[in-house]
Amino acid sequence: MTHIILDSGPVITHSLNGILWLFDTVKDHFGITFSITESVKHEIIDHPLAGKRFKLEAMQVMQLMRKGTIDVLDDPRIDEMTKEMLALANSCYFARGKPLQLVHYAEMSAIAAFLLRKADVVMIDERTTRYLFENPDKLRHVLEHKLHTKIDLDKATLLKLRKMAKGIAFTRSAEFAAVCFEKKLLDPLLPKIPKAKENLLDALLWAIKLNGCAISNKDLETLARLVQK
Amino acid sequence: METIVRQDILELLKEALKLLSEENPNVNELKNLSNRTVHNASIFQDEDSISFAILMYSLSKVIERAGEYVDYDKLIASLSCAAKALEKDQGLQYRVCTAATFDIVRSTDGTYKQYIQDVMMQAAVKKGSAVYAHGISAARTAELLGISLWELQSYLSATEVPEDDVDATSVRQRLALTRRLFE
Repeated sequence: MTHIILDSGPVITHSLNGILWLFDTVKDHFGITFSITESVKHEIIDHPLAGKRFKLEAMQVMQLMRKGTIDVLDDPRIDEMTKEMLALANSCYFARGKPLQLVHYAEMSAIAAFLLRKADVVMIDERTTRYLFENPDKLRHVLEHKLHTKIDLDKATLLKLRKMAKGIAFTRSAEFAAVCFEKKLLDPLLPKIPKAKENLLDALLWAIKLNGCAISNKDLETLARLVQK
Repeated sequence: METIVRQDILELLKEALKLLSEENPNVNELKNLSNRTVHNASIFQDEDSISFAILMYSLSKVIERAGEYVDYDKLIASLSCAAKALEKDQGLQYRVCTAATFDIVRSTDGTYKQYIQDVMMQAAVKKGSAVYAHGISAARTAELLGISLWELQSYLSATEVPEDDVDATSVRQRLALTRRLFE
C-alpha cells in the first residue's frame, strides 16, 4: 500500500485551491494513504484555529483527519530523529561565519516520518528542504545569489544528514495533481469549452503554483507537455 | 546584536529620520528602507532586522493612508531615541524605543485602528515573502515573522516570487516517480 507523508505546504495548497477532496478520491480509488506529523498538524490546524482567517480551511482539513484520509503520526521516535536532523540541517550552510537556520522542525519531521515509517514519498512544495537533500550545491548557489554573500558548506555535516536520509524521495502538489489529472480524477471539473482538457490542466497547474508550490514557469510548461491528456 | 546588523539599522534609521522630517515624507523611500534589512533578516534571522523591516513598511502605509493623523514629533523623538541607543550599542534600549515607535503607530487615530492592525500583519507577510525568496524555507520564514504558513502561502499567490529556472530534480523524473505511486 502506497504511503505518502504530507508536509504542511501541499495540504495548504490543495485547500486554498478547493481540491482537498483529491486526497479522499485518491485514497478511495488507489488505496494510497496519507499521513502528517504532529508538528505539521500544529502548523495547518492548531495555528489557524486560534485565529479568524483560515479557520474554516483548518476545519475542512480536520474533516479529512476524522474520515481517516489523513492520519496523524504520533510517534516519539519521529521527534527524536527530527531534532537530530534539524540540528544537522541548520548547521550545513554558513554565511558570514554564522550557520543559516534554513529549515523548520515541521519540515524535518516529515522527512523523519518518511524514514521511520518507510513511506514511499514525502510531498513537499517548498524548495529549500527539497534542494537540501536533492541538490545541496544548487541550494548553495541559490543562497549566494539571493543573499549576495559567500556561503560556506560544511560537507561533513551535510554528508551525515544525507546518509541519515538515504532513499528519500520527494514529490510536489504539481506532479501529484498532474497524475490525478491523467487518471481522470478531475474530469468532473471539465468545462464545456473548447480544448477543455488543456484548459483544465493549465488552470490546475497554475493555481497550484500560485498558491505556494515552488515550480518555475519553465518546469510548469514542461510538466504540462509531459502530462497525458 | 551583530555589529553589521546594528550598523545597517543605524544607517537606515538616520535615513528614516531625514525622510520623516520633510513636510511630505516620501512613503516610497520609506518602503525601500524596509527592504534593505531583508538580507540581514535572512542571514542572522534576528528580531531586530525583522522588526525594523516591518516597522518601516507599516509606517509607510500608515502615512500614505492616514498621514494627517500621525504624530510626527513623537515618531521622530522615538526613532531618534532608537538611533542614539544603537550609537551607544545599547541593544535593550534600542528595543524599548522601537516598541514605543510601534505603539505610536498603533495609537494613530482610532478610526484607523483596524487598518493599522491589518497593515502590520501585511507588513509581516510581505517581508516574509522576501525572506522566503532569499532561500529560507517556508515554514521557517513563517515562524520568524510570527505569521502562519497559510498567510504566507496565500500571499505568494498575489505576488511574483523570483524563481529558479529549473528544480533540483527534473520534472520528468519527478513525474515518473509520482506515476509509480498510483500503480
